[in-house]
Amino acid sequence: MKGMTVIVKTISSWVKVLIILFGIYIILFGHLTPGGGFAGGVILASSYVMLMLAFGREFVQKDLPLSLDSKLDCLGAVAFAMIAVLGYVFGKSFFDNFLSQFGRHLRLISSGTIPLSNIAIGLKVGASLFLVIFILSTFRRDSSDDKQE
Amino acid sequence: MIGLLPAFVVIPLIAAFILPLFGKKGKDAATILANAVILLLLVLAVVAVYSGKQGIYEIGDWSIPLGINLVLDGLSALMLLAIATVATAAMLFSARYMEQYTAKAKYLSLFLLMVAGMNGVVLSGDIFNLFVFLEIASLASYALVGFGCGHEELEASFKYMVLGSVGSIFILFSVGLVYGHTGTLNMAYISQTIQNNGGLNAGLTFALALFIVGFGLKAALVPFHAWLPDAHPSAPAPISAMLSGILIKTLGVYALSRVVFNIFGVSQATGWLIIVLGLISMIIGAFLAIGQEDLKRLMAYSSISQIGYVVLGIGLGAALIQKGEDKLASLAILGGLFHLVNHAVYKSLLFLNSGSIEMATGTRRLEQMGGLAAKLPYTRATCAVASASIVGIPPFSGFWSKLILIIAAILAGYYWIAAIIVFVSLCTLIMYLKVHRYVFLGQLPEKLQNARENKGTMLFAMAFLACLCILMGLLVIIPGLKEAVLDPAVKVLTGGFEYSRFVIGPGG
Amino acid sequence: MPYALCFLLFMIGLYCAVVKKNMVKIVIGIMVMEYAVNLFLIMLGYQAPVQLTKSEKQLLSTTPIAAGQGPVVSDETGQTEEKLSVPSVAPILSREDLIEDENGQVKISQLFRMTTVDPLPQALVLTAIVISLGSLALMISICIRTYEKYGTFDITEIRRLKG
Repeated sequence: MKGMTVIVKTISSWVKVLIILFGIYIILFGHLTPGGGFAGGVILASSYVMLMLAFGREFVQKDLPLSLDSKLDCLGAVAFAMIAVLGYVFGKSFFDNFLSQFGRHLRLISSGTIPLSNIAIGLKVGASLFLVIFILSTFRRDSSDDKQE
Repeated sequence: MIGLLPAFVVIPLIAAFILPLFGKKGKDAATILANAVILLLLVLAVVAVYSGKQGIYEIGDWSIPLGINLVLDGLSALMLLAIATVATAAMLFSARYMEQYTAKAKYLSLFLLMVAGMNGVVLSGDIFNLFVFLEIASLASYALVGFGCGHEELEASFKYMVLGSVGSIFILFSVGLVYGHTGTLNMAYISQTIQNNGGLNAGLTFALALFIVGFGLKAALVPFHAWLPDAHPSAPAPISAMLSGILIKTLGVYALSRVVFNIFGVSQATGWLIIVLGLISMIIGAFLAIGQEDLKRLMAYSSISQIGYVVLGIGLGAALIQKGEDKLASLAILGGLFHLVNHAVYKSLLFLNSGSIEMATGTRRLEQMGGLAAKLPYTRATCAVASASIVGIPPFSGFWSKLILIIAAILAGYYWIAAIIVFVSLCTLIMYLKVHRYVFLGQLPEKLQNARENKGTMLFAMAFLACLCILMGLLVIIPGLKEAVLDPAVKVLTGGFEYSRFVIGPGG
Repeated sequence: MPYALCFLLFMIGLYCAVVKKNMVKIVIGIMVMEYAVNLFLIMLGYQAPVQLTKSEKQLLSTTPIAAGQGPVVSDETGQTEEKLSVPSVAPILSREDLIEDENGQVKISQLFRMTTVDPLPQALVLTAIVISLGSLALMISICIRTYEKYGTFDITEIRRLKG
């Protein structure tokens, strides 16, 4: 797959920054506005899927190798679980919102662990969704096992 | 102990996501870590049963109608112990067995994910949360069934996945119905609402029917059993042991009995429906098993038949509670639950044996084997123990649970049920005699002269389960043990709506 | 009526999953069932719009579940008296939505209750969607693998295993 025409390549290389920024925005403001880790993660993954369609798989492979992607995937999950465990260590129980006293309501820094969990989920969903789409698209030659969410 | 409840879910979950980070080089380290995690869970489960503590754990410090809670009661503790025991043996076994496959780290990761899901199902006190954990465990098992990526595995996995997904969707649908009718998802509060409304209305009855179908699909009761004889043989042997030994019980029988007894409340109709499902599963499973030529397929059909016993005991209990005969009911449920634990142990042992045989001979066809008794002495010995146990020969564990079931059926006046139990036991005898006759006795074929038994952890795992098979009988003979291990679990089911009072507390 | 249609959709999915011979169509059927259930859950939380007075409409002008002006209540330090200039679009409870009854118990106002949908089924559906995404990916990957092996999606040609 060599990728598409120059027009598509150029536009998508401009737009990818916007999409990634939008994804990050959705993740970071997940506790204030609609959206959150899952939605933002899907947007992040979609930016790379767009690159994959426009430039071909090899290009994306160079940018984000599968091994790194699956590491990010695991990292997101572990980070999410760790936030829960930290709630146990510093607070009263698992998933206890032990940081809730910081920040002010309806500001970016607020809601304690919820934004942190959102970031972890965003990482996990973005990485794993991209992994799934990538592996499904390369199924014919690649024979690595699929992972599920 | 109660403070550690989330550890049952969180520890395997974290480990499952750390394992892939080891990559190809750290295969041994990954194996050791996974084994350590499972052993830790076993220790925790033993402590949970031994301490006898019961209680609820509110996640995130939200009080219960708002937040999600985990509940540890007698039944949960028993199931946790069973899961951890089977998982320990299967994990030890797979340390050697899985060397033949690539991507061992992924296998271990999925294995731990499945254990985490099952522990979650057992502990969860929130019905939607139960569904989520059930899906985690099911998804991991779908992937594990298809792990070999051969023809057979893929087809079996697809069949399993289609039926399993339909079951999950039914469960989700009925969760929605329950929420619509009661306005809460907490199992204790649902139960309380149902009591306050004085029984089930049409919508909730429909939801109960959907639950029975959904969990029946997961438990492979007979009208819904089509996936099991394909899925269980196709998986790698330790996974067959996990699936047959514990997964169908956790996702099917445990969830079904929790929903029927503790949430919706028993009635004559549901009791008899469950009895009939159990009886059909017993008979048809046994008949189909005798005709099989494939070792693992035979065992898979026998699983259907054995799960019938468990369900029969529980259904008999439900019908008897409704009649007001609480003592008999608890006897029947004791038989069912004891058979559940026994079956978890000996069926996983049988599947591990089949894995050992398959590894030595490279085939699962019965007619291609023979005379392996001299080549695989330990496998033969443990297999004999397990077969004796599943058939119900006196000193072994299976005998006691069947005896209890028969006594309960006779005392309740259902002689024909007792007769069927004995009859199916005879069928079981025939099928395991067949296994021994074809596999261990007779002429050794030319091809199998070089068959060698695997030593090390595989042997240890089989010996561990074989010892358990022999010792499990003590659970009912020695007086203290039964009160400590089995009785709390029985009490949870016979207590019925006591569950909601226990969770909500006396004030609620 | 909407429930009946939802059930019809469920049945269409079930029919498709049971009858069709093509693996991909079976997967589609299962997904149709899944979405029928999701739709059902969403409808459970739906609340028919009520007639509002003009002032109430103004209060709720941004979105059906918009908060009014002002910070949320659940603050223990009590230091959040600064009014926000822009009404938040976040689906949270605002101070105006809480009223005290005669016993001094704080309750959610009738207006808020009447004009918001039940958020819990939405959370359930979100979770269910994530789960179905996972199982969809797994199912499709198995379909593709099987196609690689046999060159067909037709289960009557594939199935060598007998139930």
